[in-house]
Amino acid sequence: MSSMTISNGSLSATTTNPFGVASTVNWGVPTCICTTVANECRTFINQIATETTIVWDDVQRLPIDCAPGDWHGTAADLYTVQLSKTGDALPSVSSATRSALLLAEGTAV
Amino acid sequence: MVRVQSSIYGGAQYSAADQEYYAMIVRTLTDRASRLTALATRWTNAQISVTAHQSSLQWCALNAGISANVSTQEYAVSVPHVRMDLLSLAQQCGTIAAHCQSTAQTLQSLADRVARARSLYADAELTSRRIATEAIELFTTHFPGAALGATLLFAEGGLIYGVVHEGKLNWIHALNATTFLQEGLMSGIGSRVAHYSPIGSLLATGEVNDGATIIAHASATVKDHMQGNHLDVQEVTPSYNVVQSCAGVEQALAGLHALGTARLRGEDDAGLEYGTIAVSQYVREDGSSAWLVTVPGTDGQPDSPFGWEQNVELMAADSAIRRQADSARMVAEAMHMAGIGTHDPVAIVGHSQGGIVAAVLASDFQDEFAISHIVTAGSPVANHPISEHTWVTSVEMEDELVAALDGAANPVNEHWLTIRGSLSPNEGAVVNTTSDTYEITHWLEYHQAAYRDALDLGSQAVHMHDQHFQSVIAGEYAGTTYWQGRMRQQDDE
Repeated sequence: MSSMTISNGSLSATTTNPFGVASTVNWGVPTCICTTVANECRTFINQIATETTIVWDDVQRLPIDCAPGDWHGTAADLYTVQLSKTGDALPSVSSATRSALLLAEGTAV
Repeated sequence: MVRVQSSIYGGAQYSAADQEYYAMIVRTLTDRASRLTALATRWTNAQISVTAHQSSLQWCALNAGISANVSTQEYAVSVPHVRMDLLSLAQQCGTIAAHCQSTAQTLQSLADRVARARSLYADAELTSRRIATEAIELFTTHFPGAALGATLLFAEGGLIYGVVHEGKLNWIHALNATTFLQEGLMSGIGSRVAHYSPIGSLLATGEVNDGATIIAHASATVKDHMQGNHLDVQEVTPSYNVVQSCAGVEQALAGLHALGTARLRGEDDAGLEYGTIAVSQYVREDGSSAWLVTVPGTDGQPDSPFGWEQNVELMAADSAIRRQADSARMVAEAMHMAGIGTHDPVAIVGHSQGGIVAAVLASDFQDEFAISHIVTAGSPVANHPISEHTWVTSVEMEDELVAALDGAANPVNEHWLTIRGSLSPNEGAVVNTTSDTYEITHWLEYHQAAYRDALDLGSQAVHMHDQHFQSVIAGEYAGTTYWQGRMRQQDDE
């Protein structure tokens, strides 16, 4: 959980970012907590979204990269079908990632 | 629902390039699965972070809808704000994490399947198994008391687990808990009985059979005294044809189940009694015959040639002792009586003692029969000197004691294929059993499931062995005869 401090009229929060992701709090400029939260969310969601795109691109290529070769029969056919289906989640993942990016931006007021 | 997953050892050897290609596939699938799992973790962490941030927003007048006092309102308009919907964001993070995790599991499962279908880790598994077996054997040979104590401790742990898990005492859990010790223990006991030197026991794999030779000298005498040594074999007729025409190993195992296991489980109504084997004839286009002999396991009846003691004789390292085992004699005599010629191709399928009998016939009756293929289910046959002309398909379960009684892993070569099944919670072939508790996996239904799973894997090695089995009994099915054996004292008429 985050904890909060008020000093010189500016609100700030200790970070709740995932481990290794730096806080983007600008200590010099008076900001509201919502701006800080938005900055932090935007930063780590952006990072994970980029990584997600890379990994899922690789997953999408699996039917070509891992073709069953001379392995034939029912099991090989089932393998091919299941391998091709691993990309089925991609549209949902892409859509959810786009939503996450948008939501992490927030709406400036 | 109980399931069995199989690993395959031996059989067709793949080229190095082939194996490297499939190893690459497994590495790639495993890598993608790991990265997706890591991604799922990151999205889950993000979800937690976003949820935590939600509580921070209560301090923002805009997001929390605060209008408590003038100073707050002034402050609210004096700095820029961002309207955040963190609940929806957390939800999206959770959705992506779930997709990543689910796809990672699918990829890992596919990688495991490829590795098992191509036996990619078979050599490494066999090497580590051999090292473990030899180490336990050495320990058992030198510290038998401590080895027994350790075994009992593991067995006790298994029992406690069973009580916690099932709410009642189930001895099979004790057996399961000692699975990894069984081969080494048996080797150690064999090594002590046969007085092996420490170095000799490390190099050898046939300690159990040497031990059995020594024990069999005494046990056979006692058995002959109690049960008699005169064998009667006669043809019997069931109320319906129990072992029908079969085209492959899977159906042969089904016939074996119908003949033996179904009777032991009380599910058979054909009127056949214990100590009965089946001989099926297949007539080829050129008029010659091929044969399938179906041999059930130990029934333990007082006058049956398939009693408990006969197992010791069948396991002996000495060919003369093995040939004299009642069950081997009974099957050989029935095969002669059924009309199997010296050069007729024969396939034998056997469960437990029936499988050992098949191995003994393929080892010691080569001058009488042309045994082309044997299928053993749950039989300890690793050290039998089976002719290199005979193909061997062995099906064993990981946690059954019986198949481990040989104290060694089966040979690995093109003609000898071993399918090892292990219980699996989610994947694999379903075991056709009505038991709702954990039971001993020596029942044939488990071997049948293991073979089915191996077939489903699409392994080339399994396919080749199945094809060979089919080629041995190729021809038109001409019927099955049933032969019953009984033991008695010589002077009982």
